Amino acid sequence: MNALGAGDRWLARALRAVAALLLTGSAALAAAMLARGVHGLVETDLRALLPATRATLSCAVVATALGALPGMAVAVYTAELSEGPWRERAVRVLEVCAALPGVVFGFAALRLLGLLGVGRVSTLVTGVVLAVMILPTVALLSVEALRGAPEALREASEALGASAWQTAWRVVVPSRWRGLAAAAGAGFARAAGETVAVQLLASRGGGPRTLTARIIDELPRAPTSSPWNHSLFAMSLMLLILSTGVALLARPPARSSPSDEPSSLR
Amino acid sequence: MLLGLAALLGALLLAGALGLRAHPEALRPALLALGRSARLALLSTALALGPALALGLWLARVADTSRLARAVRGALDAASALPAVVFGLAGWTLFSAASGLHGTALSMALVLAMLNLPSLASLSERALQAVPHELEEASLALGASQSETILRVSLPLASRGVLAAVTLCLGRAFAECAPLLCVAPDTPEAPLTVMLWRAPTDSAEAAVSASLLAALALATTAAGHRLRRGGDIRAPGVLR
Repeated sequence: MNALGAGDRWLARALRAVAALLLTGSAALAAAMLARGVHGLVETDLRALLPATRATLSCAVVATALGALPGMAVAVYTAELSEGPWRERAVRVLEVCAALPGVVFGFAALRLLGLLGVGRVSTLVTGVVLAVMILPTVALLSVEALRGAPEALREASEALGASAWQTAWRVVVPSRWRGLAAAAGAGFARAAGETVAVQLLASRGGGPRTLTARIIDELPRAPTSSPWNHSLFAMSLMLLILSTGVALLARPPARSSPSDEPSSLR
Repeated sequence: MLLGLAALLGALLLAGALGLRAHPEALRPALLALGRSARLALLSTALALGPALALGLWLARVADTSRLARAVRGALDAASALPAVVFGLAGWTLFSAASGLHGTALSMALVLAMLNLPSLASLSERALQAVPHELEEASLALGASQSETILRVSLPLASRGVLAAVTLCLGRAFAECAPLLCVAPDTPEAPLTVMLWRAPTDSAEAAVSASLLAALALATTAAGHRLRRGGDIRAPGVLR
């Protein structure tokens, strides 16, 4: 049943109308935002956008550098090495932590920094907070990537006498590296796009004022269709270029193409 | 590391409980905010569900393999990965043009609906694609029209997958804060996240609302798990 027949056009027509309405509506909205953003890019000095862009970039790089590899290690443990109920429990913990709101991370970080007596929040501190935030996301996506490895691959490796540990590191991880890279890319995008936690660290701890923090801070104060307002849309454009650029670079592999399996197994 | 994350969760819940013991009066505002959060999440999901289901049905059963459908699928994937603050700006653009909505509770619900629509639509499509074709063909062979087949066979069979997607969206609606701050920065009807954002860091109010948010994350993921566990669609007994 691929398409609706001629006998009952009404449902197809209604669906088509809703789809057309939604698509044109969101395209118009995106165009309006893009116009504001381009307006802002032309109006404001590009150098004014640079500090916030640099802050976003450095925080996200620190977060990915510190959070991605541990996230993948957790995923290897969860998907390959843990057994029975522990695997289920590990996935549960990761899911709950990935679902925790950003504002809770911001609050917890400020509380903890207060206890530790850290006065001023640096780029490194913000990066560490973001690293903890993206770790569960990277881990869950990596678990999914590792689960995509064909069972035959694991069985073949174990038949050759490899331990679970060797199978995981030497066979499964190398065969899934593209999915793991995509998970790290998604982690970077989440770190760059995280708003409230970073804004809290910036406004209450004096942390770096990233693109997202400035947008949230200044949007209520900037008058409608002022250059200030347009510059905020230009910032969101920079944010999009940063986060989606990296996500595209680390694109997830096409779903289960036959070339995923090494040729010796076929 | 897993233990560390679990400890973080435990510490959040414990801090809330301790804050509550020291300041029992912090419970009332937090519960009121929880109620507002729940209303907001339900309203936004209700607003998004209809259009998302229609878009999912259109993708799965009308447009299917056309080039437009493929482009829309790509756009939906890209949109569900956008930073939330971008949706906040989209909402701001929309509501500051059609003024009167800016700053209202409805604008908050609408912006969350916009945020959830892309992922809800693509997850609904996936749920519909997972419905076994044999069942639809059997319905057609029994003389049902194609509209009837979709409404009476495909949608009910996909409902479990759609419900799992809905819990995901509810969880996200409970957790979002940045888009709300964009469209309604000084709303009197602050949900939990906005209340936590406003509260002083070391107040009991903040600790209680943070632990309520953590508990909500626990509850929505548990509900999603339960739905997905029995989620494999199997042919009803009659057909076997």
